[in-house]
Amino acid sequence: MVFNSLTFVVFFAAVLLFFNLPFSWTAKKIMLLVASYVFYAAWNPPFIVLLWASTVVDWLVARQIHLQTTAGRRKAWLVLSLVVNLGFLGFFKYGAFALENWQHVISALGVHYQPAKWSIVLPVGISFYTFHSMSYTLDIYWKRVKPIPNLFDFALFVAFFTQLVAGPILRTSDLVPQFEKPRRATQDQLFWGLLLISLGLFEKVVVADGGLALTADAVYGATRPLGVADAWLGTLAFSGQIFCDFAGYSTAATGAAMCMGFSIPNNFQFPYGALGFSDFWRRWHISLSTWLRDYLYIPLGGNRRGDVRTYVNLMITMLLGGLWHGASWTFVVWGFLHGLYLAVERFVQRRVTLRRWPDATGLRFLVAMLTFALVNVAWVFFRAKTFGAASGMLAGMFGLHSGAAPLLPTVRMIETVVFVSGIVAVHLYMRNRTVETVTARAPTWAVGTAWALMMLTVIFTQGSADGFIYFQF
Amino acid sequence: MDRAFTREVPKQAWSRVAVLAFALTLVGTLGWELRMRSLGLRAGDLGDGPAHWAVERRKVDEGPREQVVLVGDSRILFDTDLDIWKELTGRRPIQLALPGTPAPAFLTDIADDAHFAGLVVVGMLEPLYFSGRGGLFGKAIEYARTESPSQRAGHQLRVRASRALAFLDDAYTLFSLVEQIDMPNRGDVHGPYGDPWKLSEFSDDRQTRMWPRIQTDERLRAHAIMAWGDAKGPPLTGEQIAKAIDAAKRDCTKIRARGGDVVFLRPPSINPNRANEELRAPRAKAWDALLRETASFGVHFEDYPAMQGLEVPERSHLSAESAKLFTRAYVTELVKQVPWLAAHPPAR
Repeated sequence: MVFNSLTFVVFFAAVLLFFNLPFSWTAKKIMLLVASYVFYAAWNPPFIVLLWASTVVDWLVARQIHLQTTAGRRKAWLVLSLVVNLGFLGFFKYGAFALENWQHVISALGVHYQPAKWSIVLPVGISFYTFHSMSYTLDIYWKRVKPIPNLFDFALFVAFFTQLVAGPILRTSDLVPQFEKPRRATQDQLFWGLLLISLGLFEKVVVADGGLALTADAVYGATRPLGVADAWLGTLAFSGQIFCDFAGYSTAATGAAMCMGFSIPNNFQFPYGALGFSDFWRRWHISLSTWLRDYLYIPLGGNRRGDVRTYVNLMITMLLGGLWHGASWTFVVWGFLHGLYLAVERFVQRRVTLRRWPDATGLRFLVAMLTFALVNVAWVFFRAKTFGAASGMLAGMFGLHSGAAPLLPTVRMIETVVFVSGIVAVHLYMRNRTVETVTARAPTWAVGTAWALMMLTVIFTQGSADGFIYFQF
Repeated sequence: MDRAFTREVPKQAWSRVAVLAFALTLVGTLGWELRMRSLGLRAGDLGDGPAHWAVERRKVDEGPREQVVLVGDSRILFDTDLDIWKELTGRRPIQLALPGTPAPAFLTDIADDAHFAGLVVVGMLEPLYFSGRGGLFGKAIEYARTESPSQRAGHQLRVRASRALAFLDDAYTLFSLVEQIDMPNRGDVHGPYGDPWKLSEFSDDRQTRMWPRIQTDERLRAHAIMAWGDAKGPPLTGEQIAKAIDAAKRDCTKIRARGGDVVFLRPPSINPNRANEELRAPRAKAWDALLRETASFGVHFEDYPAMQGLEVPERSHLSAESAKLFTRAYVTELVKQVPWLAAHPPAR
């Protein structure tokens, strides 16, 4: 089920109604769990079994890890959890990719092997709930948290419908304590939650799907060389689309949880206003970047083992972060580019000592635009299906296709410039602000009118219930 | 070190904010609805698309084996009146034609369905039918096979809402309206302004009729005529035609082996479109060869006096009134010429 569908409107209204009836807290939690499973199964019912398996295994394994007294046994149970979780992920998400690469390798060795076609459907959101669930066993292993006594609370943590299929990737400490005592949204929380849902749907339905998707699809679907304007506009459109698609989901998820009195942390903090790449990754898909930091980069040694090892750790983390997004070498290259950007930035920062950032707004703007431009170069590998398509797009962006026939109609060019400029301007303005502080300072009439405009444009755009891009990850 | 995260709610007079927001949304939506109705949209126009198609496709599998199914492109879709079919044969056909989408893949889909032993009427616009392309809604079959419970429920809700709200129309979304602004483009770029706009209305069972404004509004009619570009295009190759005929032969054989039958239908178009269609796919090489090779009966509008002089406002599709006349004429001919219809009277 997707947030931008009439099905979700009815589903969520029913959930809210039940949640506010005078039932016991346990009954409400049971309803939330059942609703979460319905939410997931509404896409493809059989795959609910994977979610159950992941939940039960991690809950049982976490208990065993906690009970064991020897390091070897603790590790053995942890390995079981990792094998099960990464096994599911590997089979469903990376099976075809592994098979294809295996075929290339043995073909290079002169062995010609034609395997049967791999036609496994990718369970929606598997990367998200696997990471949700796996973080728990890892936290127990590292003794960061205590085991959750109740399977039921753990199951609700894994499956809670608001963030089940596209994040944010939560830790048990974010959510499970909130299940302990009865919760009910205050009137202010309910309205703020509804406003956040409207904001998320505005980003997804109006900006991502309505304003930018067609341009990105046209440019990345083109079968002939493109000129500078078309290649850049297509890539800028994608950069706006993917932000609004993903941040829109996260914002709507946050709002839906808030309507029931639950708090979910921000997953985005205006990333296109970032000054540099470490700043970008503190603002983009925060729950994934912190997950990778806590469960991969730091365990690898982080920056504690010298310069060379730090760069290696950084690169490993970003390469795997790239692969997490999709089973393709183009995603790996996307991760590599971000690893490279971060490594170069670290290298420069350690050699150029600035007492503080210059106050010059112009310089900050230039750094932000340089960051944004390089992020866009990396997006090419994220969006293009093949290296051939990516290199063709980069060649177009850097003016190597002189005389290429134009592709985009004027109306789409205008839409792209208007929406992407708007997104970047908002991100620059909001760099050091939050939606909450800006809303608190705005006059009541302005907040009400802005909210109405978002709802009206969503209604007039009549979204087609397209899935969110990040569902596939 | 468990910690419960708590999210801040900004200080505002939230009750007043909400009242203002919902009041403005209500007023804005009502205003929009009235504006859309003034433009000729009406509640009960259910729209079309893969989800609507999937509902009809399921009727093939869930109903009796002997049914009448229509496949093809927008010509047979616009030009067939299902009520007239019912009146003349006692059967209401299942409408599986899709705009801008050639019939062959859909004929194959029906041929591969072992449950089906009925009559398939294949609508035809030769340059599209023989093109070998997937077409605008080529993925409808895949959608119907993989439609999720959520999508199915969403479709039902949308249909219910469409019965009450006129503004729910894919051709009149906010961005569709923005793209109806005529702007100069670079070079030979084809913009969305040149794509077809709203041409039809849809009611239950995908009954499709030409949108009345195409007949009454000079600007919309002229735009539709411009969008069709006089049906110009490259001629079909012999290979394209042979391939499509081979596929049709296989499909006809399969359906007839189960006791079913296949007939072909060529609905009207007028010049200059008709002349260009003939240039791209000459009747003798395409239509006549297809009927001969598949040993099929076919109704070509050029062969029947009752199908002449019909109203084709944008040169490509019949007006709703003419669609009734055309349906009556071609179904009358099918009843006379197709033994399957007489041999399989509808169950009472």
